[in-house]
Amino acid sequence: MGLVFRDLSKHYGAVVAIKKASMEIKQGEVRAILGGNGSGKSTLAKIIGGLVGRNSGEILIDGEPVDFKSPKDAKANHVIMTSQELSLFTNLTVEENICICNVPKKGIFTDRKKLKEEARKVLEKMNLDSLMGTKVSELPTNQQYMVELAKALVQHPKILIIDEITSALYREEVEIVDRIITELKAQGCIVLFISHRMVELYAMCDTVTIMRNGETLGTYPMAEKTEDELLSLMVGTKIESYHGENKKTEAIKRDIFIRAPHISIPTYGTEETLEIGKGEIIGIAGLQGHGQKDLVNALYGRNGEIDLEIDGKPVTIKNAKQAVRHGFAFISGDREKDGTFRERNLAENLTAVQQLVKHEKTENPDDILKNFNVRYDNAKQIITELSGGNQQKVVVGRWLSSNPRLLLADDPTKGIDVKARTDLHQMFAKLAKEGNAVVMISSDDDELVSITSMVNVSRVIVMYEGRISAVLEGDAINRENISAASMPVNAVPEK
Amino acid sequence: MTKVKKIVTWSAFPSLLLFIVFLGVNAAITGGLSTSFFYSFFATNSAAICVAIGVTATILVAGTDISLGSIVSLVNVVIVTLCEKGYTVWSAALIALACAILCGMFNGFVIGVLRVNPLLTTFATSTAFAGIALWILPNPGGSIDFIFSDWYSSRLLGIIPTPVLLILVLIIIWYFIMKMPNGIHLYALGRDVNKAYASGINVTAFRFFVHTFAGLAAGVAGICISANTCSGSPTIGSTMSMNSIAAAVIGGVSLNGGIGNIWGGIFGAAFLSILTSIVVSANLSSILQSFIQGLILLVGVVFSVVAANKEVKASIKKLVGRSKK
Repeated sequence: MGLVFRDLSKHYGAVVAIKKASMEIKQGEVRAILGGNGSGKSTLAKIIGGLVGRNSGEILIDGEPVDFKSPKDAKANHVIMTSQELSLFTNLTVEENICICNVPKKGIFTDRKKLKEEARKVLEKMNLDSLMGTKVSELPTNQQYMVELAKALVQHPKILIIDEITSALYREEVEIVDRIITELKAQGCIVLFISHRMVELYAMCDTVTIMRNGETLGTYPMAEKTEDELLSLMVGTKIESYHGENKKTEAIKRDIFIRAPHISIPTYGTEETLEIGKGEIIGIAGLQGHGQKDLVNALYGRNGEIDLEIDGKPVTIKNAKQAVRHGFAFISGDREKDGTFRERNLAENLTAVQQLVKHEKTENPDDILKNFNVRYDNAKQIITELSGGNQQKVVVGRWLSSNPRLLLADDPTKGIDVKARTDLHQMFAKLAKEGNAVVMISSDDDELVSITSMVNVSRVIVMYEGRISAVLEGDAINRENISAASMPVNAVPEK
Repeated sequence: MTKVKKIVTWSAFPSLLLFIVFLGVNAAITGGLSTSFFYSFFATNSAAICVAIGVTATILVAGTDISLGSIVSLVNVVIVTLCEKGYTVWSAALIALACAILCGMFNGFVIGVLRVNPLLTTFATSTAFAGIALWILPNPGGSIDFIFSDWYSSRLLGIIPTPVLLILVLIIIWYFIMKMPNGIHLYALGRDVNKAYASGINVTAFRFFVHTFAGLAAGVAGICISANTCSGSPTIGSTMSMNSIAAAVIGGVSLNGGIGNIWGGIFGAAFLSILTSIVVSANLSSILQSFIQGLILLVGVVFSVVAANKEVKASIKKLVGRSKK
């Protein structure tokens, strides 16, 4: 009963994506799939969802072998996949998007009234009915992910694959997802949950299957393994995640590097100031959309002119190009929009900044790719052939090889596995230790706690409604303090 | 108030505005508007409007079709040649229309099933169709029975002229499709082919359909132009392809697909047509004519692109909101 697959294999040319993966999932089970970048999780999800074919192996649903030729086929069998790369159409409204796979009809025409009703029903369940009638292009990424989930729910899934969508969500939204999964479970739905946030996996999943290099290594009840044990299994070597040891308590002396007296936050019409020290990592925390993105964009000159003081000298930055000339780098978690050049190969993606903006010579792309542990075939490959995490490593490689002095990062580890994440953190820390600075937003508070502990000079800035509501340093940097500052006591509660 | 907002931010609004403004300019030059002006306007320009409707359909799914002008020529020469051969006008027109639909289906087959780039495909077929037209009727000439012209200038119930009726037929067919779930799917496809496929949308069928529809529209345009001129020319539609794309862009149809509607194509084409008639009636030399026409066309395209800008739209929204309070 339930979902079974045996000896599933898939290769793209010479690159093996999945090697004899096998799994058995009971009805009403929530199964976590855990693995590094390129371990085959997403490919596995795509095979079950009918998006890519398999080379060998079989899939059984309720004991019956199935062979989905297309996503349409899979959907007809109520196998629904929500993917990391959103399936939403930004030119359509939220309700059109939700119902697009099964548009309600009256005769042969679209039943607009029923379409709205159906969408409203599912959105109300998710406390998102305020989104009705909005075009998806007007929504922030995290809400788009919620709509993506709503779109899956209206299709009455029997098998629901959630690939990484929660990594872009904020706490309150994750709670909604948690509630919905519990409901689905009660209805006997199988949920395959792919995520890198351990807290979520422990909260939502019953069992976990570990994948490494395209193989399924084993399945364990979630409660029986600790976080460190799972990570070790996943990486293949013993790992101990950081829990805040070795923290310095003495007051920190900061050597001022950049002074930004007027950072405008257009979303709230407010202004903030920031002083960035040499060798400092500044983490920016807060609930969704409280001006964190505006702050980073402003520093990068994306919100118009900004006056800064770099090394004591006044500098005006008018646009991103000038920012790059001054040694700024910008890494966004929104790879598709701000990171990769989709139709271009790895080498071109790597050297874009240095060759086209800075007019400098570049290193051999293969060296950079190896340095950043990118899993790739050759440097002439189109970047979209890589897995999401590996694409992000290429983007990071592009920026770090240009020797930036200030690295601005907007949730750079979104959808990246723990190993790659740790790698990135170490690269960021190395950059900071060389006397440069890192300003980084993250929707994951734990991430900020761990990265700021890696260097001597660090702060976490918590934003609330366009203002800095707290600046945490040293021992004060912990989840509790960040949460507390994200939701000031006298503040109006979220809708 | 919300209605005003809706109209002002409608993607085809800039083209409607341009059309009305230039209609006014035309009236000022020629000394007032009359019903006979509208009748002759539609008689002359319905072909351009039909082609614009057809090309808009293909642009909406992120494709394009530059072979429609050649199809118009082909329809024209087929009608003339068949009439000369002794066919009745009606059977000649129907056969020519079928030819146009076949041409569209061929485009749709190559683009949809064989997955060749729409621009390249229709570039190739436009040359081929134009070649066939030249082969059928190497030199301009021939004539069509005046019954055809009489039918074309007649009015249904004494009000609706035939060319408008023909345009309406296209609009009704289009709306019929749009009211089905296909309407939503078509716009989805225009935004992102891969996602559309992943959502279970039949990409091939849609590509095939829009090009067939474009063929039909070009066929209707060919009938209009033949009935209006009552003679044959193998190059009669050659300038229409590009004009129709310009019309669609002016009408707020995004060349990237997924944004706009056929009204944009219609108003865009109407604006271009009125522009031509203004420049012609201004009695300028023919060299200056095309220069000025091109210049105004450029201004029109820039205007519509700026008007489609999100920020501009938002500020217009605000302005309308304020004045209505």
